[in-house]
Amino acid sequence: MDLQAIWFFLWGLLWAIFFMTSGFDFGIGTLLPFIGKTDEEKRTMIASLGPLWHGNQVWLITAGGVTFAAFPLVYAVMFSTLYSALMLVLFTLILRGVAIEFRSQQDDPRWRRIWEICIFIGSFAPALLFGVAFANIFKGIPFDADGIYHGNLLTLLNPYGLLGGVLFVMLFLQHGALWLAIKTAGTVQQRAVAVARKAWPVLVAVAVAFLAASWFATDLYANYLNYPALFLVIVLAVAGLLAARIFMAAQAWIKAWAASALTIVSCTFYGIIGLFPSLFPSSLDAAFNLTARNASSSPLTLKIMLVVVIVFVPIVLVYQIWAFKLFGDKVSASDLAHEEGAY
Amino acid sequence: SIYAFIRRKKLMESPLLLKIMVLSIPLPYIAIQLGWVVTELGRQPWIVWGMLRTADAASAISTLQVATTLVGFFLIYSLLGIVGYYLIIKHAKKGPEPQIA
Repeated sequence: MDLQAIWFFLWGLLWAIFFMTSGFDFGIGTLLPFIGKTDEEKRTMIASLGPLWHGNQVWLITAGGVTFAAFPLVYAVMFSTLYSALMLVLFTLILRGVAIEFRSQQDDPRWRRIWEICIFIGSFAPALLFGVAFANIFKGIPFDADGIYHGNLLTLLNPYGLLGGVLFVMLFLQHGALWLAIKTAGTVQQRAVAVARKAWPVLVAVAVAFLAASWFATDLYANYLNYPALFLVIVLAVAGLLAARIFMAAQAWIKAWAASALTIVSCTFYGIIGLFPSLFPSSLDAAFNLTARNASSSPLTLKIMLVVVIVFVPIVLVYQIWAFKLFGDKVSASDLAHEEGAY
Repeated sequence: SIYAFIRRKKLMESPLLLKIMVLSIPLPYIAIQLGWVVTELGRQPWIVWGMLRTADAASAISTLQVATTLVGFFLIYSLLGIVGYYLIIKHAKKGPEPQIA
């Protein structure tokens, strides 16, 4: 594999890690009004994210940063063509970030309600929009040779794009519900388990529909038909789904969550592998496609960044896993009573 | 600051100095903002000095889109600024935390 191909798959890997880690905090934010009935239950749910959601979102910055550094042309065209959608994601993420911090600052139901709404919107909307954006990338975006976009925000909300959005929302709902099953006890845990059980068949149905729709709406399967061994990725995604259900039945929540993580990563790679070598295909003409070949930085840049990544990504992974372990215990009442300013 | 250095041992007995210090809290913020404005305005019409003009670097996005997000940024940051100051004032009025012995 050459440098450009290595960076193509690193680009995919960073997006996959972002979806795997932020997936559960988007899911929990979306479930907040449905599982959290009392203030204490809501605080328990928010506290289950601990300090982890900050770290999770850094993977978005790394994924964006790698797009910029390794494939600057993709970065430029992606942020121009998807301008409105990405700005919407940005605004909702800004609101969500402050909402998580501000909610606990005042003991007033109305105050808390406002920030809960922001947490919900800031979790649901990005989950949906990332799904819509990636499904549209799989399908191809209507842009010309100069990277000029021929469409608007509604162009992205086509059936296949929306199906991708629903798939992401369902993946993240299951992921978040299972995280709550690990991290909480009592009523919150019971409700989370019930949600995970109910979400599963819906997720399977949406995932199957997405795999089938991709056959008609995209060229993703071309690579798979050329190299049938690649179908292993789809097998992994299915295995993750089945394992999640089996571990749920066995009440092995950590394993079920890991299976859900595997599903999210293999779903992301399902698209990434299908796209190769394109990062950002054009639906107008395949000649306009931005690929790992025609949109990358210079070999020297890629080489320097590869050394940096090989050194630092393992370090980041180790300290994030360490943080996950440190905050692995269930949220208890004493955690919530610990200090006034706490979630 | 020279005066503050001379009086550092008797800080609590110098009301004038303490008042000056309170009034100078915004100064670093103003300095940061003005410094930013100077660098941004100073290199116009270049966005990368001598290499790329700002006009050539701008994305081909409709003015309406840019205007909408500009208003969006203005509203969101104004809202966050107001809420932030409200909370700062609220916490400041409460006074320092009681010492835990």
